Amino acid sequence: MYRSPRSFAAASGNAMLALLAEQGFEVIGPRRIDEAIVYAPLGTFDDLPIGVTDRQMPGRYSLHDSDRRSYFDAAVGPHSVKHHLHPSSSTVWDITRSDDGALSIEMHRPEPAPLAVIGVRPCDLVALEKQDRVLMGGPHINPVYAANRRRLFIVAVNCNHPSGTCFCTAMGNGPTAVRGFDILLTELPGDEGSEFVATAGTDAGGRLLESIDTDAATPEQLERAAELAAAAADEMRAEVDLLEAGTHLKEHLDSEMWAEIGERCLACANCTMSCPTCFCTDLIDTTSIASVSSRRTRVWDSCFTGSFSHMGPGPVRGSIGSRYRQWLVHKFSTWHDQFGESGCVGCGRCITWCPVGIDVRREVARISRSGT
Amino acid sequence: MNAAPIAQPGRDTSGTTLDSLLVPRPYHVIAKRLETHDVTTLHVVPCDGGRPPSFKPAQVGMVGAFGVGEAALSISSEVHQLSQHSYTIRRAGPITNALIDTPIGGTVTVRGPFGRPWPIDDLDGGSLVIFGGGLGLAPLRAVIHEALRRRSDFTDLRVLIGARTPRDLIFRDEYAAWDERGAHVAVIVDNRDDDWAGPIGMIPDLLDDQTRAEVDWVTAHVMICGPDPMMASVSKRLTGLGVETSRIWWTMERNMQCGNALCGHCQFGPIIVCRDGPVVNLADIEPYVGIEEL
Repeated sequence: MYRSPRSFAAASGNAMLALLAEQGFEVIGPRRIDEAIVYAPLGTFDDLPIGVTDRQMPGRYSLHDSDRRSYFDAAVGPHSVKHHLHPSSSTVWDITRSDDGALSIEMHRPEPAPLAVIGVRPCDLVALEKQDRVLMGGPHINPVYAANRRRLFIVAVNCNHPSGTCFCTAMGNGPTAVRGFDILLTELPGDEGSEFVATAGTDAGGRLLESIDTDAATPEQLERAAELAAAAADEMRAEVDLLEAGTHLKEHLDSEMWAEIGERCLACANCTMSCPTCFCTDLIDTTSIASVSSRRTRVWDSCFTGSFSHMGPGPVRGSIGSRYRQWLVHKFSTWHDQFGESGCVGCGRCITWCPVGIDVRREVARISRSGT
Repeated sequence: MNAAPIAQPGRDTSGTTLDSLLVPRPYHVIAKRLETHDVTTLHVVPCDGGRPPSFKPAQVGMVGAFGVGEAALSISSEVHQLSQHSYTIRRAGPITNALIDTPIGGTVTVRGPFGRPWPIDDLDGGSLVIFGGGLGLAPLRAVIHEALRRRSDFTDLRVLIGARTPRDLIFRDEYAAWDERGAHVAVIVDNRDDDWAGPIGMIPDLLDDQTRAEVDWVTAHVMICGPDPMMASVSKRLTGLGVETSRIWWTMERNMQCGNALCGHCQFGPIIVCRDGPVVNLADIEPYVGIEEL
């Protein structure tokens, strides 16, 4: 297995995808669909959004053609690997009732096909670790997530061009990956087309690199990769250490700012749907029309809904401000108490996809500094 | 707060074995007892002929009605009586209505038991003071019986019970027996009715001059279950009497859906109630008590 970095051109990338497909992997990667970059089936590197860049701001997302011919210039879109590991809907069990009223229970046993995801960003690798801890690291595990996780092959890519809402460095991550990948790529753009520096993170990744046409990466290529990483980090202005500031949010539960944010927040739940670490699910029982069978389904839920905190007398969190407080304080502060780390990776999706442009960078900074 | 919970099932690492606490087990309803106008106790036994699992006081079963859903309910039977489990349920919505309306001989499902129990095994003697408000007496019934069984371990045992009206008192026919077996039982109601001769007021009013003087509060351990504001007001009175918050335990109730710390619904600040509760030490949650809509 290769221990030192390799380099290859797009043709070898195509060979890599073909080999993964031959080995039975469903191969997905970032593609331009409906004017967003989303994960979709990927046949060759030509399916990638070549020459496409994104502009992301609070509440704003748009794609643009650039004169660069890079494959991985656009930053994260609304989808993350979560959509494929922790699907928005999955079956828990089926219960059948016989004529005499006896119940027989059949647990759903997921047996998913192997999945290879190309172009996973460093923030999303950190998000995967956080979901692992929640959904596989406690006394009980989510069997669907665990089965999907086991069949996952990851080709990650370092970020050369963070978007306007990226803040991974303020959360202590990125913009380069350190672990959690089978293969890690850095794209080196060039007039003759891009080259890629590739590092294996696992034996499986190393074997795949050995199976395609590569060269040893040159010192010049490695230096250029390091320069690109440094430039990407510089692009993200991290005025506040949000990782540290976020831990203090739980000391400001009485702040008047929560109600003020509640007046802007629509409780639409876009932030929780696009967040790569939000894991909450609702359990819904449905019956057949003859009432002889019942299925339990696990679906994504959001702490922004009224039913989320339902109790006998009604919801615990009736106001939108209290729901926003639950989300932000959990993500940045009480996640540390529950799971020993922050729940945020700094991907910026909740900022981009918030229809009213609430910016968690600003809210965390000002609430954690406030006087209450 | 991240210490291992009491129920430690086998981890699913192979993808083929199932975590038994994630799998519902059918139970027959063998008897029902009307406790009050809206509270009923179901007595259940496994349909497979086996015994119900052992449990500790206040541990929770996820009790399911076919096609409707599950409710998180503390087991209200005694820990040493394992021929059956009991669940004491108030009509609060479609799931609890369906459970209460299950006919004798009908089937419900149960997963569990889950969660942290009352710490009766860890107490160093002294006095034990138990407060139950309304239906809050149900998660306390097992620990009351356990404390009576080990009565000599404690210098004093008090059971202080409150309800909105006399007709909202549950397990009312047991109070005299508890008293005879060595618990000082006192009962108070917010609003009297015609056949009530006892005191009227809120539960903290049971801490009258005589009780305050009789109990050794320095050695006291206190267990409280009831609505959040009731637990908060009782705790405030107790800390005023010199009881350390680390010697006071509550049972928390939140929207428990999965019971497995996977669905996220039952958070209370830093606590995931189904994992870190339902019994929590007041010292662990003190900064979060009384905050609206948390």
